[in-house]
Amino acid sequence: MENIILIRIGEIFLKGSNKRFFENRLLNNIKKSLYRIKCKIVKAHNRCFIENFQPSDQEEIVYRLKKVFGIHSISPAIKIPTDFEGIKQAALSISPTQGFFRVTVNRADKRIVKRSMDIAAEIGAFILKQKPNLKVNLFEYDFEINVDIREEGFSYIFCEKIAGQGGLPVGCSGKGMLLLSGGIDSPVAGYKIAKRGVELFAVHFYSYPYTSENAKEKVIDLAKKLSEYAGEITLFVVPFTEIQYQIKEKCPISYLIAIMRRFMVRIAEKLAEKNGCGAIITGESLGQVASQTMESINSTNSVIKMPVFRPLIGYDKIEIIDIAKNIGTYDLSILPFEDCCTVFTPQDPVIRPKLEEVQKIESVLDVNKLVDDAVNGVETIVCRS
Amino acid sequence: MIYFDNAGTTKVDNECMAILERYCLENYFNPSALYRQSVEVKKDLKRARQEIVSALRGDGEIIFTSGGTESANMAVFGVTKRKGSRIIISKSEHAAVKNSALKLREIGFEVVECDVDIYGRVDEKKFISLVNENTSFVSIMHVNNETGGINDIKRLNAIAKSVNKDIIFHSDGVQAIGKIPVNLRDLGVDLYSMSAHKIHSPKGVGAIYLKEGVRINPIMHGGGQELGIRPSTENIPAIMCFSLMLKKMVKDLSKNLEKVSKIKDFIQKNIDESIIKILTDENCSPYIISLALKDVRGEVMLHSLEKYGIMIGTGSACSSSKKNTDHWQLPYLSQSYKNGKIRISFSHENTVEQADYFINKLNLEYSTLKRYT
Repeated sequence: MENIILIRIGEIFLKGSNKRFFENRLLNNIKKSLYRIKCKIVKAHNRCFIENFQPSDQEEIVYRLKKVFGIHSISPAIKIPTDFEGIKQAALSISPTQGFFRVTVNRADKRIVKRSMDIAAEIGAFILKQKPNLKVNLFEYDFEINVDIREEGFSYIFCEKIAGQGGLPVGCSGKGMLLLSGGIDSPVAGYKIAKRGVELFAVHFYSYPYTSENAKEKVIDLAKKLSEYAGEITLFVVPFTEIQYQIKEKCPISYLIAIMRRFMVRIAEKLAEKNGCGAIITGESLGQVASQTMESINSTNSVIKMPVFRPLIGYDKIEIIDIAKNIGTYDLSILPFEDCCTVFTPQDPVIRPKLEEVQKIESVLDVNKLVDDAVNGVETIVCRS
Repeated sequence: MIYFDNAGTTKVDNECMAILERYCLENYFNPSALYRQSVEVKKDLKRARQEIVSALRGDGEIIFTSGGTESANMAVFGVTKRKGSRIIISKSEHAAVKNSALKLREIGFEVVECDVDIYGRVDEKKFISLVNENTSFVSIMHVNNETGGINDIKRLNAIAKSVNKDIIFHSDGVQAIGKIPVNLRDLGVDLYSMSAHKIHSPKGVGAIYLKEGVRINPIMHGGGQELGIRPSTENIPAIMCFSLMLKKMVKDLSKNLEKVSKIKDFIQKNIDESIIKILTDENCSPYIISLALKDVRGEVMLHSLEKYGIMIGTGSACSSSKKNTDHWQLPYLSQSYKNGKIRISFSHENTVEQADYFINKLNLEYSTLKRYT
């Protein structure tokens, strides 16, 4: 009898010939997430197992697996060589002493002649005899004892089925460059897109001396929090003050945000290209602020070729906040440190900038030089949980 | 490096290191235990207590706490007060007193805030009008943490007691002890809060002084340490440093005052008053000078000076992460100065040369920042 953890994989089982690629990614990510825990990861059909771990590590393993994308559900289980006496004893050992229960048997090993229903009834009867305060109810039960009889001669007995994150293993959909401001939305956008299998890089615009070391530290903490789900994130901190100064000095203040956004995506695209990313990811939600109208988004989009993914475009703020609270980024995001967008904020920003107008206004700036200088001044920070 | 944020915290004095080592590695025993070694530690603790009382010319007890905030909380919550009675604080109190008192308002006390001048000093006429028979507790800070404004605590205490002798008067002396003369008997206050880390001792220790005969109720419960008023095993290493440093600071008080006054005077004389307002006068502590920059945010200046290794404060470090829109000083400042406050605070280790360098960089950075406002 051995304690193991059974992992059921999510959407990957729908994949065809490239399934192995997805599975290998997932196994690799599981391995990384269980960093510094002594255990063995075993691959099987549409599932995998964690074995050979210290019983005291079980809770920590489950806690970490709950954050790995591509896992559908997790069950701490007992593994034994298939033998009815052993199965009965194992089932008894995990059953409580009172309440309603049912036994469900899944018999993949067809060499066993007895039908699943009969085996379940037999185990149920055995448990009832030992624990007379229990009652069987097949439909309204407090707990379900599952017995999974596999072909390779082993059976797994478990009670709990803990929901995983779902989604696709990080890395199997390529790499993306996330614009990480320090606000509530961008970490959620990163989470959403990582859930679709994207490995994340992040870029943060830093306006020293208008924003502080505290603001930078906050963004690093956010990236670390996000990395609990998305795996290691390389964060690029871009010096942005000079660009803001130049815009402030040479362009009408009401266009400051519109032009700033254009610089941000240009810089993000450059960094994305350097790092093999296929897309830029932003936390924009349509209509939330002045820079998130269709016209503003168009003005921003038109300066780059790379696709921009906006996973939150159709989300309400309240929906975004709910996710942020769930993944633990909310409390960090609301820490009151200035970010580059709140510096020099004009009283009345242009809400629907006309593209030709923005281009004309921007033409007084040496865009290429400013972008190159910013990219050259980047500070790189590797963030992992 | 130029450290001009000594009202926030101070560098621990070298002499503390030997004390810390002694009480961490050798005499680390719990003063409440019964063996001889512990009794020795207990005696040291008693000595530290007496030394602090005598350095401050007190006649009562010292209860050690974790710092100024805890001491202030003990004063506000620990004093027995008639239900519904009046509590008077000043508008410029530190958050430790202010937020504690506001909590009392929630549970039915009449909490009133006395007006202050631009330096945070209580308006005496207003104070007289506020004290009444129904007043049970008054808390007025000795030295304001943002401006250095010194309240005439002796007078305010006498005024309060003349109206109602049963009033318990607390003063927050965190920025006062070891820096300006403090004579607790002369001040006449019932309770006085202090903190060790503002006078070159380690963080995590403070004290509250209880005048002879004054008792407060514990706000934490546990073992019987500190007369049962503040249960918890005493932080002996830091307490021993606190007592040593207070003695030392009191001994060197005049010498140090002369030194920091020179630095403050230098800054005051060399500030370009067309762009920077100086918020200080002769009744402010020489250890602090508060400035307000025209059209430049204080926090931005703080970060700009960072690159030269100059560290200053904005308002109070304890609340610098909060946007303060109802700050007591705002009514005294015109619009262009409202966001521009910076606080320069000294220790005896600072020099006039440092102040000179600071002024230089302040002017340089001001002109850059002003361009983009």
